[in-house]
Amino acid sequence: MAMGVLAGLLGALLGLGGGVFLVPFLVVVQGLPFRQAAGISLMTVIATSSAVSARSAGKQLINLRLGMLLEVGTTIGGLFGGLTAQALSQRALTALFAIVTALIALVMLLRLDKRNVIPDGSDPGRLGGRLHDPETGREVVYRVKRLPLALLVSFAAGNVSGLLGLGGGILKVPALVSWCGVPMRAAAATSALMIGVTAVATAPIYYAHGDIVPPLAAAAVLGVLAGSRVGLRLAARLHVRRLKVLMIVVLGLVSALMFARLG
Amino acid sequence: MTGPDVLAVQRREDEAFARVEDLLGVMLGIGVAISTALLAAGLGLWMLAGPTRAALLLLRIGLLALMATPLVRVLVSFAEYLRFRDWFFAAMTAGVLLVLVASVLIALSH
Repeated sequence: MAMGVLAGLLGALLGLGGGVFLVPFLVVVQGLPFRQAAGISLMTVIATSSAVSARSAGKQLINLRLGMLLEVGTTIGGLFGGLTAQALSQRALTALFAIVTALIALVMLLRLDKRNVIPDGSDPGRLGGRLHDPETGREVVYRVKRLPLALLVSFAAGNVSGLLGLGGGILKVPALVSWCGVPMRAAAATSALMIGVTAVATAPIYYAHGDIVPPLAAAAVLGVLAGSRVGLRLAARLHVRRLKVLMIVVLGLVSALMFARLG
Repeated sequence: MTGPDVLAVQRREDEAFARVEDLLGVMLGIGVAISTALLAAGLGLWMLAGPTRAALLLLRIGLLALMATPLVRVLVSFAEYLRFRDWFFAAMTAGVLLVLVASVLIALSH
Protein backbone atom coordinates (compact mmCIF):
# COMPACT_ATOMS: atom_id res chain seq x y z
CA MET A 1 0.00 0.00 0.00
CA ALA A 2 2.90 2.33 0.78
CA MET A 3 4.08 1.86 -2.78
CA GLY A 4 0.63 2.75 -4.02
CA VAL A 5 0.72 5.95 -1.97
CA LEU A 6 4.15 6.83 -3.32
CA ALA A 7 3.21 6.00 -6.92
CA GLY A 8 -0.04 7.96 -6.64
CA LEU A 9 1.77 10.91 -5.11
CA LEU A 10 4.45 10.96 -7.80
CA GLY A 11 1.87 10.36 -10.49
CA ALA A 12 -0.41 13.19 -9.44
CA LEU A 13 2.56 15.47 -8.85
CA LEU A 14 3.64 14.94 -12.43
CA GLY A 15 0.19 14.86 -13.98
CA LEU A 16 0.18 11.14 -14.69
CA GLY A 17 -1.63 8.13 -13.44
CA GLY A 18 0.61 6.26 -11.03
CA GLY A 19 1.07 3.37 -13.45
CA VAL A 20 4.37 4.42 -14.90
CA PHE A 21 5.86 4.21 -11.38
CA LEU A 22 3.67 1.48 -9.90
CA VAL A 23 4.50 -1.14 -12.57
CA PRO A 24 8.29 -0.94 -12.07
CA PHE A 25 7.85 -0.82 -8.26
CA LEU A 26 5.79 -3.99 -8.32
CA VAL A 27 8.16 -5.76 -10.71
CA VAL A 28 11.50 -4.72 -9.23
CA VAL A 29 10.77 -4.36 -5.49
CA GLN A 30 7.90 -6.79 -5.00
CA GLY A 31 9.21 -9.24 -7.58
CA LEU A 32 5.80 -9.70 -9.24
CA PRO A 33 5.55 -11.08 -12.77
CA PHE A 34 5.13 -8.26 -15.30
CA ARG A 35 1.55 -9.12 -16.23
CA GLN A 36 0.44 -9.10 -12.57
CA ALA A 37 2.02 -5.69 -12.10
CA ALA A 38 0.28 -4.41 -15.24
CA GLY A 39 -3.09 -5.88 -14.17
CA ILE A 40 -2.90 -4.26 -10.72
CA SER A 41 -1.82 -0.99 -12.30
CA LEU A 42 -4.86 -1.06 -14.63
CA MET A 43 -7.16 -1.18 -11.58
CA THR A 44 -5.44 1.91 -10.15
CA VAL A 45 -5.86 3.63 -13.54
CA ILE A 46 -9.63 3.02 -13.40
CA ALA A 47 -9.75 4.35 -9.83
CA THR A 48 -7.77 7.54 -10.47
CA SER A 49 -9.63 8.22 -13.73
CA SER A 50 -13.02 7.94 -12.03
CA ALA A 51 -11.99 9.90 -8.94
CA VAL A 52 -10.35 12.73 -10.90
CA SER A 53 -13.22 12.96 -13.42
CA ALA A 54 -15.80 13.00 -10.62
CA ARG A 55 -14.05 16.11 -9.27
CA SER A 56 -13.52 17.88 -12.61
CA ALA A 57 -16.98 17.16 -14.07
CA GLY A 58 -19.12 20.25 -14.54
CA LYS A 59 -16.15 22.64 -14.54
CA GLN A 60 -16.10 23.05 -18.34
CA LEU A 61 -12.81 21.19 -18.56
CA ILE A 62 -13.77 17.79 -19.92
CA ASN A 63 -14.61 17.79 -23.62
CA LEU A 64 -17.22 15.01 -23.51
CA ARG A 65 -17.79 14.84 -27.27
CA LEU A 66 -14.10 14.61 -28.10
CA GLY A 67 -13.59 12.13 -25.26
CA MET A 68 -16.39 9.83 -26.37
CA LEU A 69 -15.12 9.90 -29.95
CA LEU A 70 -11.48 9.19 -29.08
CA GLU A 71 -12.56 6.45 -26.67
CA VAL A 72 -13.50 4.39 -29.70
CA GLY A 73 -9.79 4.45 -30.59
CA THR A 74 -8.44 3.92 -27.08
CA THR A 75 -10.75 1.01 -26.21
CA ILE A 76 -10.06 -0.88 -29.47
CA GLY A 77 -6.34 -0.26 -28.89
CA GLY A 78 -6.70 -1.40 -25.29
CA LEU A 79 -8.48 -4.62 -26.24
CA PHE A 80 -5.77 -5.50 -28.78
CA GLY A 81 -3.05 -4.54 -26.30
CA GLY A 82 -4.55 -6.73 -23.59
CA LEU A 83 -4.78 -9.73 -25.91
CA THR A 84 -1.24 -9.17 -27.23
CA ALA A 85 0.12 -8.89 -23.67
CA GLN A 86 -1.10 -12.42 -22.95
CA ALA A 87 0.91 -13.71 -25.91
CA LEU A 88 4.17 -11.85 -25.21
CA SER A 89 6.94 -13.03 -22.87
CA GLN A 90 7.86 -11.24 -19.61
CA ARG A 91 11.12 -10.25 -21.23
CA ALA A 92 9.46 -8.70 -24.26
CA LEU A 93 7.01 -6.75 -22.07
CA THR A 94 9.83 -5.50 -19.80
CA ALA A 95 11.85 -4.41 -22.85
CA LEU A 96 8.82 -2.63 -24.29
CA PHE A 97 8.24 -0.83 -21.00
CA ALA A 98 11.88 0.30 -20.88
CA ILE A 99 11.73 1.58 -24.47
CA VAL A 100 8.41 3.40 -24.05
CA THR A 101 9.49 5.17 -20.84
CA ALA A 102 12.83 6.17 -22.43
CA LEU A 103 10.99 7.61 -25.46
CA ILE A 104 8.58 9.56 -23.27
CA ALA A 105 11.50 11.00 -21.26
CA LEU A 106 13.19 12.03 -24.51
CA VAL A 107 10.09 13.72 -25.90
CA MET A 108 9.60 15.57 -22.61
CA LEU A 109 13.20 16.72 -22.66
CA LEU A 110 12.80 18.10 -26.19
CA ARG A 111 9.60 19.93 -25.24
CA LEU A 112 10.85 21.20 -21.90
CA ASP A 113 10.63 24.89 -22.70
CA LYS A 114 7.69 24.83 -25.11
CA ARG A 115 4.66 26.76 -23.94
CA ASN A 116 1.21 25.72 -25.06
CA VAL A 117 -0.34 28.42 -27.17
CA ILE A 118 -4.09 28.56 -26.83
CA PRO A 119 -5.52 29.27 -30.26
CA ASP A 120 -8.00 32.06 -30.66
CA GLY A 121 -11.18 31.32 -32.58
CA SER A 122 -14.87 31.99 -32.34
CA ASP A 123 -16.45 28.93 -33.91
CA PRO A 124 -15.59 25.78 -31.98
CA GLY A 125 -17.06 23.51 -34.67
CA ARG A 126 -18.70 20.23 -33.90
CA LEU A 127 -15.97 18.88 -31.62
CA GLY A 128 -14.46 21.98 -30.13
CA GLY A 129 -15.21 23.36 -26.75
CA ARG A 130 -15.27 26.30 -24.42
CA LEU A 131 -13.07 26.53 -21.42
CA HIS A 132 -12.80 29.01 -18.61
CA ASP A 133 -9.23 30.20 -18.28
CA PRO A 134 -8.54 31.11 -14.63
CA GLU A 135 -5.41 33.10 -15.53
CA THR A 136 -7.17 35.63 -17.73
CA GLY A 137 -10.66 35.09 -16.31
CA ARG A 138 -12.02 34.77 -19.84
CA GLU A 139 -13.75 32.04 -21.75
CA VAL A 140 -11.48 30.38 -24.28
CA VAL A 141 -12.93 28.80 -27.40
CA TYR A 142 -10.96 26.14 -29.24
CA ARG A 143 -11.42 24.01 -32.31
CA VAL A 144 -10.19 20.46 -32.66
CA LYS A 145 -7.80 19.97 -35.57
CA ARG A 146 -6.44 16.83 -37.26
CA LEU A 147 -9.05 14.46 -35.86
CA PRO A 148 -7.78 11.35 -37.74
CA LEU A 149 -4.37 11.89 -36.14
CA ALA A 150 -5.97 12.23 -32.71
CA LEU A 151 -7.81 8.94 -33.30
CA LEU A 152 -4.60 7.21 -34.39
CA VAL A 153 -2.73 8.45 -31.32
CA SER A 154 -5.67 7.34 -29.16
CA PHE A 155 -5.46 3.85 -30.65
CA ALA A 156 -1.70 3.75 -29.96
CA ALA A 157 -2.22 5.06 -26.42
CA GLY A 158 -4.89 2.41 -25.79
CA ASN A 159 -2.53 -0.23 -27.10
CA VAL A 160 0.28 0.86 -24.79
CA SER A 161 -2.22 0.97 -21.93
CA GLY A 162 -3.38 -2.59 -22.56
CA LEU A 163 0.13 -3.95 -23.07
CA LEU A 164 1.92 -2.26 -20.19
CA GLY A 165 -0.81 -1.39 -17.68
CA LEU A 166 -0.43 2.36 -18.03
CA GLY A 167 -3.12 4.97 -18.56
CA GLY A 168 -1.80 6.21 -21.87
CA GLY A 169 -2.41 9.87 -21.06
CA ILE A 170 1.27 10.51 -21.44
CA LEU A 171 0.91 9.87 -25.18
CA LYS A 172 -2.50 11.49 -25.76
CA VAL A 173 -2.09 14.74 -23.84
CA PRO A 174 1.03 16.02 -25.66
CA ALA A 175 -0.48 14.99 -29.02
CA LEU A 176 -3.82 16.71 -28.37
CA VAL A 177 -2.05 19.86 -27.19
CA SER A 178 0.66 20.12 -29.83
CA TRP A 179 -1.12 18.80 -32.90
CA CYS A 180 -4.85 19.05 -32.36
CA GLY A 181 -5.34 22.52 -30.88
CA VAL A 182 -6.75 21.41 -27.53
CA PRO A 183 -5.73 23.57 -24.54
CA MET A 184 -3.60 21.79 -21.95
CA ARG A 185 -6.15 21.75 -19.13
CA ALA A 186 -8.93 20.47 -21.39
CA ALA A 187 -6.61 17.82 -22.87
CA ALA A 188 -5.56 16.61 -19.41
CA ALA A 189 -9.14 16.48 -18.06
CA THR A 190 -10.47 14.74 -21.19
CA SER A 191 -7.61 12.24 -21.16
CA ALA A 192 -8.19 11.53 -17.46
CA LEU A 193 -11.79 10.66 -18.30
CA MET A 194 -10.76 8.40 -21.20
CA ILE A 195 -8.10 6.31 -19.43
CA GLY A 196 -10.67 4.70 -17.11
CA VAL A 197 -12.80 3.28 -19.89
CA THR A 198 -9.64 2.34 -21.81
CA ALA A 199 -8.44 0.27 -18.84
CA VAL A 200 -11.88 -1.36 -18.58
CA ALA A 201 -11.44 -2.63 -22.16
CA THR A 202 -8.39 -4.55 -20.94
CA ALA A 203 -8.81 -5.26 -17.22
CA PRO A 204 -11.39 -8.10 -17.62
CA ILE A 205 -8.85 -10.05 -19.71
CA TYR A 206 -6.14 -9.66 -17.04
CA TYR A 207 -8.71 -10.52 -14.35
CA ALA A 208 -9.80 -13.71 -16.15
CA HIS A 209 -6.16 -14.81 -16.45
CA GLY A 210 -5.72 -14.39 -12.69
CA ASP A 211 -3.29 -11.50 -13.13
CA ILE A 212 -5.19 -9.17 -10.81
CA VAL A 213 -4.41 -10.49 -7.31
CA PRO A 214 -7.29 -9.11 -5.19
CA PRO A 215 -5.53 -8.07 -1.93
CA LEU A 216 -2.56 -6.53 -3.76
CA ALA A 217 -4.85 -4.71 -6.18
CA ALA A 218 -6.96 -3.40 -3.28
CA ALA A 219 -3.89 -2.11 -1.45
CA ALA A 220 -2.57 -0.46 -4.61
CA VAL A 221 -5.93 1.18 -5.44
CA LEU A 222 -6.37 2.59 -1.92
CA GLY A 223 -2.74 3.73 -1.85
CA VAL A 224 -2.84 5.43 -5.25
CA LEU A 225 -6.12 7.22 -4.44
CA ALA A 226 -4.66 8.55 -1.16
CA GLY A 227 -1.34 9.45 -2.75
CA SER A 228 -2.90 11.26 -5.69
CA ARG A 229 -4.85 13.57 -3.34
CA VAL A 230 -1.65 14.64 -1.60
CA GLY A 231 0.20 14.84 -4.90
CA LEU A 232 -2.38 17.17 -6.50
CA ARG A 233 -2.13 19.53 -3.56
CA LEU A 234 1.68 19.54 -3.68
CA ALA A 235 1.76 19.98 -7.45
CA ALA A 236 -0.15 23.25 -7.20
CA ARG A 237 2.72 24.72 -5.16
CA LEU A 238 5.64 23.60 -7.29
CA HIS A 239 7.16 25.24 -10.33
CA VAL A 240 6.08 23.62 -13.62
CA ARG A 241 9.59 23.45 -15.07
CA ARG A 242 10.90 21.76 -11.94
CA LEU A 243 8.08 19.23 -12.13
CA LYS A 244 8.96 18.45 -15.73
CA VAL A 245 12.66 18.02 -14.92
CA LEU A 246 11.75 15.75 -11.99
CA MET A 247 9.54 13.72 -14.29
CA ILE A 248 12.28 13.31 -16.93
CA VAL A 249 14.76 12.18 -14.27
CA VAL A 250 12.31 9.68 -12.74
CA LEU A 251 11.29 8.32 -16.14
CA GLY A 252 14.94 7.91 -17.11
CA LEU A 253 15.60 6.01 -13.87
CA VAL A 254 12.55 3.80 -14.38
CA SER A 255 13.64 3.03 -17.93
CA ALA A 256 17.23 2.22 -16.86
CA LEU A 257 15.91 -0.03 -14.09
CA MET A 258 13.78 -1.99 -16.55
CA PHE A 259 16.63 -2.24 -19.07
CA ALA A 260 18.88 -3.53 -16.26
CA ARG A 261 16.44 -6.38 -15.62
CA LEU A 262 16.92 -7.56 -19.19
CA GLY A 263 20.69 -7.97 -18.83
CA MET B 1 -22.55 20.84 -40.85
CA THR B 2 -21.82 24.36 -39.56
CA GLY B 3 -25.07 26.04 -40.55
CA PRO B 4 -26.82 28.19 -37.95
CA ASP B 5 -29.41 25.45 -37.27
CA VAL B 6 -26.78 22.90 -36.43
CA LEU B 7 -24.94 25.34 -34.16
CA ALA B 8 -28.14 26.32 -32.37
CA VAL B 9 -29.05 22.69 -31.81
CA GLN B 10 -25.52 22.03 -30.61
CA ARG B 11 -25.58 24.89 -28.14
CA ARG B 12 -28.91 23.74 -26.70
CA GLU B 13 -27.47 20.26 -26.46
CA ASP B 14 -24.34 21.67 -24.76
CA GLU B 15 -26.48 23.31 -22.13
CA ALA B 16 -28.54 20.19 -21.56
CA PHE B 17 -25.41 18.11 -21.54
CA ALA B 18 -23.77 20.27 -18.90
CA ARG B 19 -26.36 18.81 -16.53
CA VAL B 20 -25.59 15.32 -17.83
CA GLU B 21 -21.91 15.93 -17.16
CA ASP B 22 -22.74 16.77 -13.54
CA LEU B 23 -24.74 13.56 -13.33
CA LEU B 24 -21.88 11.54 -14.82
CA GLY B 25 -19.48 13.12 -12.30
CA VAL B 26 -21.73 12.19 -9.38
CA MET B 27 -22.05 8.63 -10.69
CA LEU B 28 -18.30 8.23 -11.04
CA GLY B 29 -17.89 9.55 -7.49
CA ILE B 30 -20.45 7.06 -6.15
CA GLY B 31 -18.75 4.19 -8.03
CA VAL B 32 -15.37 5.09 -6.52
CA ALA B 33 -16.89 5.45 -3.04
CA ILE B 34 -18.64 2.06 -3.19
CA SER B 35 -15.64 0.20 -4.59
CA THR B 36 -13.10 1.77 -2.20
CA ALA B 37 -15.36 0.97 0.78
CA LEU B 38 -15.62 -2.67 -0.36
CA LEU B 39 -11.87 -2.91 -1.05
CA ALA B 40 -10.98 -1.32 2.30
CA ALA B 41 -13.35 -3.67 4.16
CA GLY B 42 -12.03 -6.71 2.28
CA LEU B 43 -8.41 -5.74 2.82
CA GLY B 44 -9.00 -5.03 6.53
CA LEU B 45 -10.68 -8.41 6.98
CA TRP B 46 -7.86 -10.10 5.05
CA MET B 47 -5.22 -8.58 7.32
CA LEU B 48 -7.14 -9.32 10.54
CA ALA B 49 -8.51 -12.79 9.85
CA GLY B 50 -6.42 -14.02 6.95
CA PRO B 51 -7.59 -15.04 3.47
CA THR B 52 -11.16 -15.97 4.38
CA ARG B 53 -13.89 -16.45 1.82
CA ALA B 54 -15.68 -13.35 3.07
CA ALA B 55 -12.57 -11.19 2.61
CA LEU B 56 -11.98 -12.53 -0.89
CA LEU B 57 -15.63 -11.99 -1.81
CA LEU B 58 -15.54 -8.37 -0.64
CA LEU B 59 -12.32 -7.75 -2.60
CA ARG B 60 -13.70 -9.38 -5.76
CA ILE B 61 -16.97 -7.41 -5.64
CA GLY B 62 -14.97 -4.24 -4.95
CA LEU B 63 -12.78 -4.83 -8.02
CA LEU B 64 -15.79 -5.62 -10.21
CA ALA B 65 -17.60 -2.49 -8.95
CA LEU B 66 -14.53 -0.46 -9.86
CA MET B 67 -14.45 -1.93 -13.38
CA ALA B 68 -18.20 -1.31 -13.76
CA THR B 69 -17.90 2.40 -12.86
CA PRO B 70 -16.62 3.76 -16.22
CA LEU B 71 -18.85 1.24 -18.04
CA VAL B 72 -21.97 2.67 -16.41
CA ARG B 73 -20.74 6.16 -17.37
CA VAL B 74 -20.61 5.15 -21.06
CA LEU B 75 -23.99 3.42 -20.81
CA VAL B 76 -25.66 6.55 -19.40
CA SER B 77 -23.96 8.75 -22.03
CA PHE B 78 -25.28 6.45 -24.76
CA ALA B 79 -28.82 6.73 -23.37
CA GLU B 80 -28.51 10.53 -23.19
CA TYR B 81 -27.29 10.84 -26.79
CA LEU B 82 -30.23 8.69 -27.87
CA ARG B 83 -32.55 10.98 -25.93
CA PHE B 84 -31.04 14.02 -27.69
CA ARG B 85 -31.35 12.17 -31.02
CA ASP B 86 -27.67 12.79 -31.66
CA TRP B 87 -27.20 9.66 -33.77
CA PHE B 88 -23.53 10.17 -34.51
CA PHE B 89 -22.49 10.25 -30.86
CA ALA B 90 -25.01 7.57 -29.95
CA ALA B 91 -23.26 5.36 -32.52
CA MET B 92 -19.81 6.26 -31.12
CA THR B 93 -20.77 5.44 -27.52
CA ALA B 94 -22.46 2.25 -28.76
CA GLY B 95 -19.16 1.35 -30.44
CA VAL B 96 -17.28 1.83 -27.16
CA LEU B 97 -19.88 -0.30 -25.35
CA LEU B 98 -19.44 -3.04 -27.97
CA VAL B 99 -15.68 -3.11 -27.40
CA LEU B 100 -16.21 -3.33 -23.62
CA VAL B 101 -18.75 -6.14 -24.03
CA ALA B 102 -16.33 -7.96 -26.36
CA SER B 103 -13.63 -7.68 -23.70
CA VAL B 104 -15.92 -9.11 -21.01
CA LEU B 105 -17.03 -11.95 -23.32
CA ILE B 106 -13.41 -12.81 -24.19
CA ALA B 107 -12.62 -12.78 -20.45
CA LEU B 108 -15.59 -15.01 -19.63
CA SER B 109 -14.71 -17.50 -22.35
CA HIS B 110 -11.26 -17.98 -20.85
